[in-house]
Formats: sequence, C-alpha cells, structure tokens
Amino acid sequence: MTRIRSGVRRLLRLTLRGRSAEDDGDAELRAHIDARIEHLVARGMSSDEARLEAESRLGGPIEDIRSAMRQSARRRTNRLHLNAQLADAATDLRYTWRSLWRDPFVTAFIVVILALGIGANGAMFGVVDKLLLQGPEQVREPERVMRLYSTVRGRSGPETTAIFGYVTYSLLARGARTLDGVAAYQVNDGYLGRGAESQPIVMGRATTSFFHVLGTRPALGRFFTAAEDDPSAPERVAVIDYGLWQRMFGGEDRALGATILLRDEPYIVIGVAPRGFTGVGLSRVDVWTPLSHMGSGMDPGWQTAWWWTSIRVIGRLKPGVTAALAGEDATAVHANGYTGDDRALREARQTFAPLTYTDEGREPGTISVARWLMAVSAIVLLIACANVVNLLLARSSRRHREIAIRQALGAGRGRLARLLFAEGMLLAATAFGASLAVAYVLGGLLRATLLTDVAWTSPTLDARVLAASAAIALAAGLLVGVFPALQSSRGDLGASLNAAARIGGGKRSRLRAGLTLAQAALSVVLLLGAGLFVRSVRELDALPLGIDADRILAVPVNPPRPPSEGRTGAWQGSRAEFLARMLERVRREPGVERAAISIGVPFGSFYGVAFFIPGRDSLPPLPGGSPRIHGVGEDYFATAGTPILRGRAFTVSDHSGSERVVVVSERIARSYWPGEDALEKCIIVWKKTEPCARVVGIAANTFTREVSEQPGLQYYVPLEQVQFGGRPTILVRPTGDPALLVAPLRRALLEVDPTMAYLDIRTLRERIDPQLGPWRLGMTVFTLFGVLAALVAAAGLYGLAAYLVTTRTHEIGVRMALGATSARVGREVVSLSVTMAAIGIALGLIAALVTGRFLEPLLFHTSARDPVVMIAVGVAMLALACVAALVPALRAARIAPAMALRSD
Amino acid sequence: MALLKGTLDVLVLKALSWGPMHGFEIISWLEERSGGRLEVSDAALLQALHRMEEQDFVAAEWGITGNDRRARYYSMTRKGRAHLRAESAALTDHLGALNAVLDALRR
Repeated sequence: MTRIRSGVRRLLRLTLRGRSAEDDGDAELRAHIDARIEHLVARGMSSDEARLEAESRLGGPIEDIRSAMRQSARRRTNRLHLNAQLADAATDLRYTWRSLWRDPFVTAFIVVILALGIGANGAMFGVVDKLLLQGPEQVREPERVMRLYSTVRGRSGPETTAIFGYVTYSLLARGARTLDGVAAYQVNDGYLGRGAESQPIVMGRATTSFFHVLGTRPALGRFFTAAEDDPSAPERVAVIDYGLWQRMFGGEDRALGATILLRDEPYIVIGVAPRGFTGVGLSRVDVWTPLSHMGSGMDPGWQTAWWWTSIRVIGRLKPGVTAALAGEDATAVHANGYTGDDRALREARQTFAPLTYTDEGREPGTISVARWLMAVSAIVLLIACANVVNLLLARSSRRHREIAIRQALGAGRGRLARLLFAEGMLLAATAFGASLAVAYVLGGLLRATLLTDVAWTSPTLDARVLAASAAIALAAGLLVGVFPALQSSRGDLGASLNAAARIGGGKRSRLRAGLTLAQAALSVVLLLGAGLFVRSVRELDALPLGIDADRILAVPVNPPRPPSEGRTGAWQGSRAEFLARMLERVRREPGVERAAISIGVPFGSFYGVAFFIPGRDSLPPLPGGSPRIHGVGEDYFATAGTPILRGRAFTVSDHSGSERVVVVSERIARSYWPGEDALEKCIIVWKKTEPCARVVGIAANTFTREVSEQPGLQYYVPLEQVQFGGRPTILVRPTGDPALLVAPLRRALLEVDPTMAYLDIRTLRERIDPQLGPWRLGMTVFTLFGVLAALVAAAGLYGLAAYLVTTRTHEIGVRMALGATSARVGREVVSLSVTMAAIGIALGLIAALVTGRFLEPLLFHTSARDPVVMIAVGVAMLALACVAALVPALRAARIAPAMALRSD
Repeated sequence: MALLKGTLDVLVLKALSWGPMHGFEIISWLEERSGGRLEVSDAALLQALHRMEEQDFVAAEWGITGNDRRARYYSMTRKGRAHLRAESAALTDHLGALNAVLDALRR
C-alpha cells in the first residue's frame, strides 16, 4: 500500500494530477460497489444477487448517484487546488519577506528607485489625464464636443483659424445636420468692480446654446435664455464661477439677483456655474455673460457681417458622426451660405478638431511636451526596473547555493521561479505605497510651478491617478519578477552545487551587462532631451526681443467712456487730454525714468493695418500676417528700449500738423526695399487716399504676440498723426526695480481718475513668461528625470563593477600573486565600467538621432542633433561611469592575494 | 435507524481515528460497531467524505486493498482530529441532556 502524507504531497504538488475529478469520482464509486459485492459473495451470495443488493444499498438510482459523486468530486478537487495554491502563495510571501529583510539596504534601495519610477509615472499620468484624456470638467461626453476650424488658401500657404464671425455660427446652427447643437463663445480679460477695489477677472461670453451643447447644469440659479442673449435685452445678466461665488458671496444664495460691475457695466447674477466648470478650456473663467453684450466694442452689423470675426465655434457631434463627416457638413453649409465676395473665403474648408487645440489648429506645446514627458517617465521606470532586476539577479547569484540545495530537495523550478516572481511583486507593492508620496510631491510641484494656468480641481492623488499608479506598479512588479524567474528556471543545478558558484554563470552576467547597457543608453537619451530643452530655454532667454522686456512696465489704460458711443473728433480730443494727464502724472512719479504712450505693444495688443507703396500695385505678403501698426507717443523708442538702427526716432515736432513720418522695422525695410535704402521712401498708411508718410527711421525687429513667431512686422507712426481707437498702453521705464514701482503707479493713476478700473501693471517679461511654459516644463522634467535616470544607471554600473570584483576575487588574487599591480587591477575595473558607459552612450546617441526629429518641433532654435549637447552628455556619462567604478576598483586593488586564495 | 443530523461526520471521523480506511470499510465498521442498527446509504457516506476532504478534516489517497483492489483510502488530518474531539464532546453532552429529559419523562 503506497500512501503519501498529504502535507508532503501538497509540498511536491502531486495533487490529483493526470486524472480528471470526474474519473476519480467514478472510480471511487465503482470500487465501493465492488468491495460490497465481494463482501456479500464472501458471505455466500451469488454474484448477481450481490450486485442487486449492492446497488440497492446505494440510496438511489445508480445514474443519479454517479452524477452526484462526480459533482462532489469536482468541487472537492477545485477546492483543494485553491487551498494548495493559497498555502503556497502564503509560504512564498513569508519566505520572500524574510529574504528581503536579510539585506535591508539593498531592499530599501530597490523600493526607493521603484517608488521614484512609479511615482514619476503616476504624477505624469495625472498631468496627461487632465490635459489630454479627461476633457474639460462638467462637460457631458466631452469627446463628442469639438471646435470648428476653417482653412483658406492664403497668399503664403494655407491658413487655419478658429476665429469666426457670428454669421458662421448662425449658419451652422441652422444648417448642420451632423451636429446636436452649435455654440459660440469668446474669453477675454476683464475686470470686476471699480476704483481701488477692482480686480482682474477672466470673462467668458457665450451663446445661450453653450451650456446646452456642453451638457452642463448650474450649481445654483439658471443659465441665460435666448431672450437675454439679445443686444436689445433690457437687463444684462451674468453666470458666475463657483470659485467667485465662494469668494464674493461665501457660497450663499443671496448671490442670485445681486448686481456686479463688469468692465464698468452693471450685470445681474442669475446663476452659478458648477464647481470646476471652465467652459471648453482648462483655465478658470470667472464670469459668463451672453455673447450679445460685448459692450461698446461691438460694431454695428456684427451679427450679419462677414468681416466681423471674434468668436470661436463649437459643436456637439451626433452619435456615430466622425469629425471628418461633420467637417464636410460644415464646409457644405458654409459654401451654400457664404454671401461675401472673397473667393478664398468662399472656398474655405471647415474641419472639427479637439477642444484642446490652439487657434491655429495645432496641438498646443504643453500637451505635446506632456506626451513626451509621459514617455520619458516610462523610460525612467524602465531604467529603474532594469536596475532592480540587476540587483535581484546579483542577489540570486549570491543565493545560488541555497537555491540549488532547495532544488535538490525537490522544490520544482516552477516553484523557485514563483518565489522570485513573488519577490518582484512584493517589492513593487511596497514601492507602490512609497510612490504615492513621490507622485503627490511631484504632481503638486508640476501643478504649482509649471501648469499654473490650468484650473485644477481634483486632488493630486485622485482615484484615476491611484488606479494608474497601481497598474504601473503591477507592470513594474511583473517586469522585475519575470526576469529573475526566467533565469532561475534555466540554471544548471549540478554545476552550481559543484563549483560553489565562484564565477556566476556566463549567461547571467551577460544579461546583467545587457541591462546595465540599456540603463546607460536610456539615461543618455533622457539627458540629451534635458540638454536640448536647456539649450532651448537659453536660446529663449537670449532671444533679442527688440524691446527691453525685463525693465518695461506696461500699463494698459481705459480712458473714460465718451457720452455717445460714436467715434467723434471730440472724443478723440478728450481721450488725448486724458492720456496726456495720465502720462504727465506717471512722469512725475519718483522712480520713473521715462514713460511713453503706445497703441499696440509687443506681447500686448496689436492692430494689423496694411500700407501701400506708391508705384507698386500690391506688396508681397510677409509670412506671419499683415504689418502691425503702432501709434506711439513722444519718447517711445527710448522708453521701450527699441533700438533705432538707422535714421531717427520721433520727436515732439512730429505732431498732427507737421509732415507725416513713419518708422519701419528692419525686416519691413529689407523685404520691401531689397538692396535699397528704405530711409526717405514713402509709404501710405491705411487708405490710398491718405497722404504719403516719409520713412525717417528703421527700428530693430520686435514681436507681436509669440516668441516663436518670425519677428519684424511692426511699423510706427506718431500717435498724433493717426486716428484709430485701439486701447492705449503707457510704457514705463523705472530707474530701479520695476516691481517696486507697481503699487505707487497704481495709486498715482487712481489719483487722476478714482473710478478707473483695475490696472494690470506688469513688466513685458511677465506677459512673455507664460509662453515659455512648454519649454520650461520640458526642461524641468527632462532634467529631473534625466538626472534621476543617470544616477540610477550609475548605481547600475557600480553594481556591475562591484559584482565582478566580488565574483572574481579569487581570479584577481591569483593574478596579483602572479605579479599584477594594484593599479592595473583597479584600472581594469574602471575601464570595464567606462567601456560599458561608452557603448551605452553610442546606443543612446543612435536612439536620440532616430527619435530627435520628432522632438525638434518642440525645441526653440535648437537642432535635435546639437553637437554641444551630445558632447556634454557623453562626457558627463563617462565621468559618472568613472566615479561609479571607483569604489569597486579600490576594493579590487586592495585584494590581498593570500586572503583571496584562502577564502575558498 | 436513521442518523441524527450532523452526526455522520463525527461517526466517520471516529472510524478513521482507528486508522486509514476506504469507504466500504468505514460503512462496515459503523454497522459492526452499532450492531447493525445504524443505516448509512453509500452515496451519502461517499459525498460526506468528499465534503470533509474539502474541509481538510480528512485526506485521501488511492491505495491497494488486502484483496488487491484499488480503493480510495481516507485518513484523519490534524484538523479532523480536533473537530472529532470537539464535536464528540458536544454530541455526548447533547445525548446526556436528552437522556436526562427522557428519563425524567419515564418516571
């Protein structure tokens, strides 16, 4: 009778294998019946009688009993199998836990680098999720809401825009068959209240359909009706942001019906938008008002004119409708409905694109960079995993004998593989816990410093980030568990036991070397990325702006509204007087070196006004748009710091009665009078009936809106010689720190007019800075992750060198006994590490050259193959490799031959 | 005589406390010890054995009988022994209580 104790059987995993539970049940029943028959026959019964008797004793028809037996046998088998597995898993975990505790430093190191890797990914996921995946908050099915774009064949190539007229909106609202609703909106800076108490806010204006298209419900009150969205509506109404409701009204119902001053006009609050609602963007909007109430800036006929373009249009696609189909529909609606006389506009192609896209129909820089950073953080995690696998392999080779003994005692290879796998999972689970702290800190940092214009409402660690982190940790655990497990199931038992693993297996060290190489190569890629972004930001900082952006304070002012809304000479007169009073007061303020008025300011407001050159039919277009006119007051160029390259600046003698003069940018001068001197030439501003203006100066190129544009579209006319109603700005050049002058300036100007609305006094640099966000984001995170990766890779190189010194102590001892010097042995260890790094650098450079062209569009005036960056990264990596190998090299050099030989 | 509910497990464990047995041996042992008064259907016993194996009261192995036949041998586990101790004490107690009551009625 062969019987094996169940505990032993379970340990060796022999559980009922080979035969199905059903067969087992059948066999048992048969054996039972046979045993009874045998018993009865032995008592003298005939075999037929005995069979009948045995079956009757079963307690039911034999078929029923058989199926009941099968069922209970199956259930038992499943249960026992599960129990065995659970017991095994518990044993594995206990064992793993104990073995991890045996070297707490290695374990802590592993947990820390895994936590950094997982945390970095969690934080980046949080960012990408908000920017890209989730869509704006409080919007039902945001993926179906898309923005309308129109592409026309311009003179210098196709031009795409998201800015439309009201006509386009109303045509589409009436004619589109593929849309479940169309809405139009615009978002502008505004101000709330009056005088010293006023504050800057962001104002959204939208059609009534806006909230319906987005599927948003108010937190309190209601949204506006179609009757209220009418220029002739008796009352102006507003829906306020949840945050503003909390700040201004303490979240109380009394907000409804309250009157607030928006841009000096009274509005009645009728509702509160739900928490987190930002319209279709990601930045905060404080107040929503009907589109029709655009104040005095509204031109007559704006609802029907084709020349009036100022709003963005969104539509909700019907279920099953693709963006392409909706685009075709919109194009057809436009072609049928267009009544203007511009052929290019009639043939415009309309498309729908995601809400996140820029007005030019491109993915915004921040999102593109965030995508890259997601990939980068994945690479950091890969490097971390490679390092952990290396460490685990190193340890498992130290444990070789122990494992071999376990194998010899009958633990299957599968079981051992599972042990190593459990080790990986346990480490990943611990690291997951620690990674939450990393994700919290890193995510908070990204939000607070680099993505400040996004209205974050959810906590840094929301459910989605937690779930993503857990998934990432699981993947990391699988990765670090699988490699050692595969390795262990391949090992050669006999060899390990015999040779006591003095030289730790060729295959294994080749895998380790490969992993170290991969780490070095990947961290080179990240460091290259970091270098390229650092280079971009330096290029941006060194960019000649043509204006002293760091020093100049820009003060946009709003002259008091004239009694009648028309633009009469009288109004211009009083406006000029008002501005003159303001300017005079500013110049009197201590700490002000110079001040000047300008309509149209770089990185502020701009006005595209074409000009003509007598004797030429048409001027070739300049890439980037129409020329921008700047109406500038006396002392403008000295105040702004815009160098006059040739000729002269305007003086007090260039007034409304004197000869018309103009200053053009260097680019305009060179484009329109190539090979000639532009000075003394004549241009005609605005209309051909205007008198000729003589070019008296050529100014350095400057910018209109974005640092990434091609600068130099500006020309300047004396403020007194031009009549246009743009918003004036006072530029102030302080003698000292601009920041110290902000509050005194505000007080001084309120003295002139106590009812004046909020004065947004900032340096031009502060207006430019938000544009640098994508590059700064790229630089910061690439550098952070690149340095992290490089350090981890250095730890990997150190680990490899240390491992080789440990496993070859014997060999080194022999060689030193035979006359090798310490220096030579040490050098060999260092050169091994450096060689690894060099190969890693080569691989990394190749990878960077291949992927570089995808990164290039995100860089600023920097080639993805920048040799300086490549050399710097290469040198840094080699230096790191030297440092990493130093300690093991010293240890190798200090090996005493006698000790090494005896140690066996 | 039909079995009281829940007593089959205890009886089976009691049988197995004498050593590993296969199903028919257990039934024969029960009949013998009860003087033929306990009737257990074969199906009920075999299914009870499966259930007790699930609960880790017994463990089973295929073995060879004295007559050179294959049979599934059951043996009691440590957990089964503890269960037997606890349940037989409870059962004895219960029967004692029943006895006391029935004796009182007879008077």
